[in-house]
Amino acid sequence: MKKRLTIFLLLFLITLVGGFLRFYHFTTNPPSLNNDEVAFGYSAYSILQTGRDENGLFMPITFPSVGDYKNPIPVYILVPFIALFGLNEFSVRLPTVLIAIISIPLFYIFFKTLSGNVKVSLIATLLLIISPWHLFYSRYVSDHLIAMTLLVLGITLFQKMLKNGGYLYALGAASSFVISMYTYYPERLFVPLLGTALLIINRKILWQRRKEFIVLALMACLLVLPLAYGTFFGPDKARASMVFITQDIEFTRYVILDHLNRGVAFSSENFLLLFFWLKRFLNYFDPGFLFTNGLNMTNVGTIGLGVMHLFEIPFLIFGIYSLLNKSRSSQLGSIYKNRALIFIWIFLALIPASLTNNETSAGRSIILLPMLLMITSLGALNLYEKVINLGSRYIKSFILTLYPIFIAIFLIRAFLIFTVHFPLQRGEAFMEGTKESVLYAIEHKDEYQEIVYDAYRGIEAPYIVNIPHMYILFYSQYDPTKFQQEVKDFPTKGAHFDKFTIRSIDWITDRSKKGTLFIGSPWSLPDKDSEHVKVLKKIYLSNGALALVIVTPK
Amino acid sequence: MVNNNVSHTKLTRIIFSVLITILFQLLLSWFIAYSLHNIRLDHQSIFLVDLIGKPIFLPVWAYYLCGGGSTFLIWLIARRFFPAEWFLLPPLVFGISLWPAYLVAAQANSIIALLFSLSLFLSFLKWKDNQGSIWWLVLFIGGLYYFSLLAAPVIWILFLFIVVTGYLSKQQKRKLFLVVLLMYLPVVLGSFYNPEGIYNLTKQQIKVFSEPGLLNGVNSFKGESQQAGFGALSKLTENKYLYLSEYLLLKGLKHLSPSTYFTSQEKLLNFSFSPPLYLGFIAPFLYGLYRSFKNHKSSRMMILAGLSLTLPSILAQPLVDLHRLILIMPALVFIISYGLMSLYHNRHHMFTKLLLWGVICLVITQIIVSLADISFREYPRFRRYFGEIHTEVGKQ
Repeated sequence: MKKRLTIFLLLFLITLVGGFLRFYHFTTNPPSLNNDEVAFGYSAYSILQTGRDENGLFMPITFPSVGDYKNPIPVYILVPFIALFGLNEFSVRLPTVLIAIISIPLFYIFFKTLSGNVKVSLIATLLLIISPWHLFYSRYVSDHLIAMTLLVLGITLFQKMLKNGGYLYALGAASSFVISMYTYYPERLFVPLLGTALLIINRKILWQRRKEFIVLALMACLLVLPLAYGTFFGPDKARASMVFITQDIEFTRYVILDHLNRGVAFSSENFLLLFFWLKRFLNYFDPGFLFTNGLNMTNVGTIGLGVMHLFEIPFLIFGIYSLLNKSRSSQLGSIYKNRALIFIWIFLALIPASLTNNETSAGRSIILLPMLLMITSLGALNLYEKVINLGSRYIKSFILTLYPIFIAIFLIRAFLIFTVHFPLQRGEAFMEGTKESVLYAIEHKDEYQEIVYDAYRGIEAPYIVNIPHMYILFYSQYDPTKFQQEVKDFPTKGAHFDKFTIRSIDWITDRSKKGTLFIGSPWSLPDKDSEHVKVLKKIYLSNGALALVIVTPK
Repeated sequence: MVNNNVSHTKLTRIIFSVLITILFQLLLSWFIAYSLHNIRLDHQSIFLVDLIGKPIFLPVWAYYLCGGGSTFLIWLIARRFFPAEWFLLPPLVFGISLWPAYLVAAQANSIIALLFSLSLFLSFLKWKDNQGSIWWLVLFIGGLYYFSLLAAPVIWILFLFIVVTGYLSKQQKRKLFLVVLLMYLPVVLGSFYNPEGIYNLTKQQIKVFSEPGLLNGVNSFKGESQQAGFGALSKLTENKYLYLSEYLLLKGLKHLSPSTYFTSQEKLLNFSFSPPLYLGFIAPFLYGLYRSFKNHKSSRMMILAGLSLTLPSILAQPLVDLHRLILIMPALVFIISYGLMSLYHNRHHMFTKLLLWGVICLVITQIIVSLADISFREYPRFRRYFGEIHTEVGKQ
């Protein structure tokens, strides 16, 4: 009883600290709502007000949004929060933060179920709350994190079903698995693959629990039907082809040389694609991604934060070694028995992530996190036991003093990156400045006949696609009914609603349009053309770079 | 070490197969050179050449000779470690790989260093077994030293490993130490005679700390933290020594990452899509590594010692320098061959059998695909990376 209370208190404390790290200043760090967050928020607002999304679709399963076909769950879970707190940064980010906090004890249960070891589970949960990977995606709308949490819940319930039986577990597991597929695209591939693996690994127990398994399978099939239709015959197919590896810039430009069509069958693009995909798959084991820059929280070329801390390297190595070492099987118990699941999970988790058009994507591969935590915590515990059992007292004291200092240094560094460098160096990636420009436009709307907003921005070059119309809708809380009737052709061809026009600005022709307010980056708007332009406002990023200019022709 | 009694006829057959492998490798190098319109590496400095200040250019055939010679030496070494029926596997894996072939085709000096290091290893084995003279060791250590300054620390590390593992008798250790020291003396004397020259050459070869982006990054981190009022914390955790150590660690880890060797993530000649080693070999490599660590203490030590061969590449400016890293390739080849052999021996397991077939299919497919790609796309790719006018890699 006393032991249980201690564990409960420890877990409570860990959750409290983890909660604080996730909750603290979450509305201002990341520094601004990004494109996805604003789009999710306004879609949810539109659903709340009219039952339809901004494109006029009634309670859709796939949200066309700004042409990127978003998943439904991240939108629908925002609805009650927007109803309660209004349409703002707080209500949009709060659900993810809350799910991340709830996931802390859930992860403990998951680790405990899989490992059967309290120490390993507690260490893994401790590593979870300081995990840069989890922390980063906990602080803004993150469909990746929500889907991963649902998956962990599903596996926990599935394991409970295997162990104790019970239809509720079966129904819960089926619902969690399928809802995770409605939350994020990679899960649509990962869950069926993992399900097949679970079926093979646990075939004997599943035969004993066949009634529960039938309930689970029926429930899953029933829930997945609309999604399957959407994926194979509906608009979701378009999303898949948009982000598929064949669209990768490195592949098209430097591997197949823009479809340079020469040669024999064996030099066909499909063969090259196979090897390019395998290369992408292995990229996820790259130390740069894992330990120094996987999260892209700092400028390119600097050493920032990887998806794991550097001090976890020995834990990871030792954890893998422990799992492969047969002589430790009796000591490891459940973890050793579940090692097939651990390695298969890691392998399968990388398939959807590596099939997309990014070199590496921390978001798409976050499904890896639970198993990496399991391995590192196992390694940490085993390493600690090894050190404690060392013969030399001096070496033991040396390691036990030095390693915590080493850990502290890296945690302080992570703290500085999260609080100082990330907002300063990556503000542009979160569309910093767009809110300010949009608020100016909304405030001065009545003074102009037309407000033109350039959709492209960027400090180094105008290559970042902005979706200003969504920011305008979001921050003006534009009436969804009105918008559903007037909006057309977003975002590439340009569009017009109310007084707002979203299109490229050509200053040579546009400078004659008096009574028009222009908002764009310095690439499209000259702030020094004093003869023709009246600069009304300059908007800077936190790092002092000029992001946007608001002007009107003289 | 394996005792191999092979009949003369069989040995003739094996030698014939080795010669075919060498021929295949030479043809592969020629094919790459031909497909790339004879591009070559920007002149790379040979340590000795820089020291005496007289340019020495080697003829093209010397590079081909080194490539073929390396394959032959790998076979000779394999004879000492592999059972008779598996002699041919390491030279075959080496001979069909694109890594040495690209270096030969582009006339990279590192292929000569590889020949020297293989010769050194073989002569060391022979001397250790009282079959060869110590003068061969003198010759090859000297050759390596004067070929590359960075060979010196590698040889010292390897020497330390040999001492620690008790691989040699006391007398042999003493002799070896004298040889290593003796061959290093001219470098030490040279540093008295021409200290500036030696300093400049060292600086030229060790460029790991001259990465400007890294120090700029540290300074900008420090500035931002100080502005935010975290000056003290920044001093403790964001100093250049810590970042440089982290960078070194990252470089070290990168050299242990499979994607470095089995994919085109690090590009051969800075542009190629061909992988240094075929991706299919990754499974036997991991299996061989696992088996070596599990079964043999001596091979565990050899693998750890072999890691010192990554040092010249770690000390280079790029994250991974595939030219300097070629020194580790024989070690990888032996592990892959051992893995393949172990997979074959365990073929009665369904999984291992499938894996073995998978490896064979993938490697054959990749050889064909790579050859076709080299033939049709490598040159246009080179032009796309480096523009229309260049014919030398490294000047861009």
